Amino acid sequence: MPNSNFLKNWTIILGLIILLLVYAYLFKFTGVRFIFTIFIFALPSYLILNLFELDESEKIIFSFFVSIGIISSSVYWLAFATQSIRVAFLLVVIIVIAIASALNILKARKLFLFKEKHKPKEN
Amino acid sequence: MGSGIKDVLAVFLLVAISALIWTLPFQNNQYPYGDVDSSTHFTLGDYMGQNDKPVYFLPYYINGTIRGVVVGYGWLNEGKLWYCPQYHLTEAIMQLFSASRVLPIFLFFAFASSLIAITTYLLIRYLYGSLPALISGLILIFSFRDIMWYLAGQYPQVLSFAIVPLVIYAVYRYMQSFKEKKPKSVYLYLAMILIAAQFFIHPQAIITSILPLAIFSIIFIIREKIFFINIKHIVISLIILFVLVSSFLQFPLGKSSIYKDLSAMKEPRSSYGLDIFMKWYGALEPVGFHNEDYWSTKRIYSNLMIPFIFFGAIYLVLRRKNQDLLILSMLLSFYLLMHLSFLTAGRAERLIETEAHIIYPLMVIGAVIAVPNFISIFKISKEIKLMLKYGLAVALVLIFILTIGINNYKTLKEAYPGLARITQAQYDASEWMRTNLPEEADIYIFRNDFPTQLPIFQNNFPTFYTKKKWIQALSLRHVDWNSQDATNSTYVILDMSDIYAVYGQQGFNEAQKETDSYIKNATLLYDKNYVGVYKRAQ
Repeated sequence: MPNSNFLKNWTIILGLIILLLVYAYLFKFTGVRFIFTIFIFALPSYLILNLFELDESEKIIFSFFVSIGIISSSVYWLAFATQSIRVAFLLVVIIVIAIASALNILKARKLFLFKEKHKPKEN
Repeated sequence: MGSGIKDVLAVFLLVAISALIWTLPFQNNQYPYGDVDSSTHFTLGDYMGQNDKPVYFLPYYINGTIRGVVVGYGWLNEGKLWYCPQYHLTEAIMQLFSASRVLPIFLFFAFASSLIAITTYLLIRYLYGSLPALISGLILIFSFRDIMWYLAGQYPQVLSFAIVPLVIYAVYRYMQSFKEKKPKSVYLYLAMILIAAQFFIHPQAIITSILPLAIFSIIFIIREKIFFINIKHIVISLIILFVLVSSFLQFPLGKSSIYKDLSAMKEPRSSYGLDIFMKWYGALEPVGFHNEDYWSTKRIYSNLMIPFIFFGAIYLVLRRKNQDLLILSMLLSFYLLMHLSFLTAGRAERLIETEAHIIYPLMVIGAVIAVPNFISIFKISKEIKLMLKYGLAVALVLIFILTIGINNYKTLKEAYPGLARITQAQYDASEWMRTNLPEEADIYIFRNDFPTQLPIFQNNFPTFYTKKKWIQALSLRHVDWNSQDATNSTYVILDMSDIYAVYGQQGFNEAQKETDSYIKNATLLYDKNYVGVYKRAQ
């Protein structure tokens, strides 16, 4: 029996393939590139959210909105320094993916985990 | 199959169906379209994408104070961006990495505007399970008022309202985690990031997120006797909000910001008396968004669905679990926003868009949960109850598609036909101006709706105004028709392509006589498909 993480990962890949096929059917190569761009745009936030105890659909849905909030904000100011939105976007994506991936690896080795330690006051 | 896997599949399925439906307006004709603000939201992203540079001060063609006349958006924030840049910057990113100019931005508009389906899915799944969530998401893809604002070009507004269910979800999860004595601060932090995103995209949606939560929080504290405040979480949340928002306050809240004037705006109401509380939409007058259907509920739900809405509401009132009270808080919040004008800063007509975001899930709860539970009073077997649940789910979807869905599908499919959107002739001329005229060129556009003897153009000002704005957006040059520009502009564009398309050569010849005086001694620079661009002798 494959484990649930394996199945979830394959379900995400299957979902992305369905999206790619729909966009390719409707808008050919531009549609495919668009979905790929959305994927790259949301990926850094997804990897950050992966550090927390959230379920898969939460991470997928939140990642796009978190990227609008954080990735786009960072790209905007950085692009004044790089004088290129393209370069700023790639820099932000690479840096965030690198940091989030490193933390995810540490998390997988149980060396690091965002866990709630707080105990609420009894009412 | 595990529930997590089913959820992931459901999310992708909803996004895929949304793509098929929401891209209908440009599946066959990919020339730009939309009402007056559509070209503005397009051009802010497009300009950044075309230049691969962010915008702080507005470029000449939309900033303009030309010869002492304010002709652009410069007055809104002293020449700076008057919206936060995130939405338009994301458009630019989509354009830069999708290797095409117009289509990726319209794909982004469609993708982002249809996200209400998956955000509602997430909220309803947690509160009532996967089936009600899937049906709610599915029918919200056809939500008429979301479609209307999307077609009109108010793309950021539609996306910002789509975030509301997520903010409510995140805060509700945070509150529930307190109840379970395992506080999950990540949900509060996510809620703050989402509120920041709403501020960046369209701040009006923030009140729609906060009011239902405020109502529900009071109920939750009284009912559960849990004061869900943790100072550390609150401080971190506020720091997140401050860090994200502080450097962007200057855009919507600059010196001469439009948002500062909103508090002084009053909604058009037929009455400000207590009688408005007896009406569902208060006393709002159908102005502003000039579409009769927009103000009617007949494109939102049919008579056949109304019983389900009532069953849903009665069920929630009778059961009163926390999730039921949350939905009722959302309903009460909508009612208050419709009736208390000081909460909406003169813009309640836009908030009506969110009615379906609450009513559709309520209707689904009525059909799929309430009715089977009401009928189980008669001691029916579990199998029959289950059959009833799925049978009603199928029936509701069918009723919805046949009465509402098909019409709203047609609205998208038939949007902006033919000359109602930019034509190839106008697109080609705009592209030519973008590459051949100086950036600070002033171009006078001769109104192609001027010949009042041509009936099709009578009273058709919005179409011309919209097209003029699109030609400006696509050419990235200042294009206007003010009398100042008629005499002073260096360049003139004579667009006779629509007239030729409707009236043929004779109409074209007639129209051209009217234009002669404007191009006297001018040099013809571009002449293609009945669109001419001239340079006047200075």
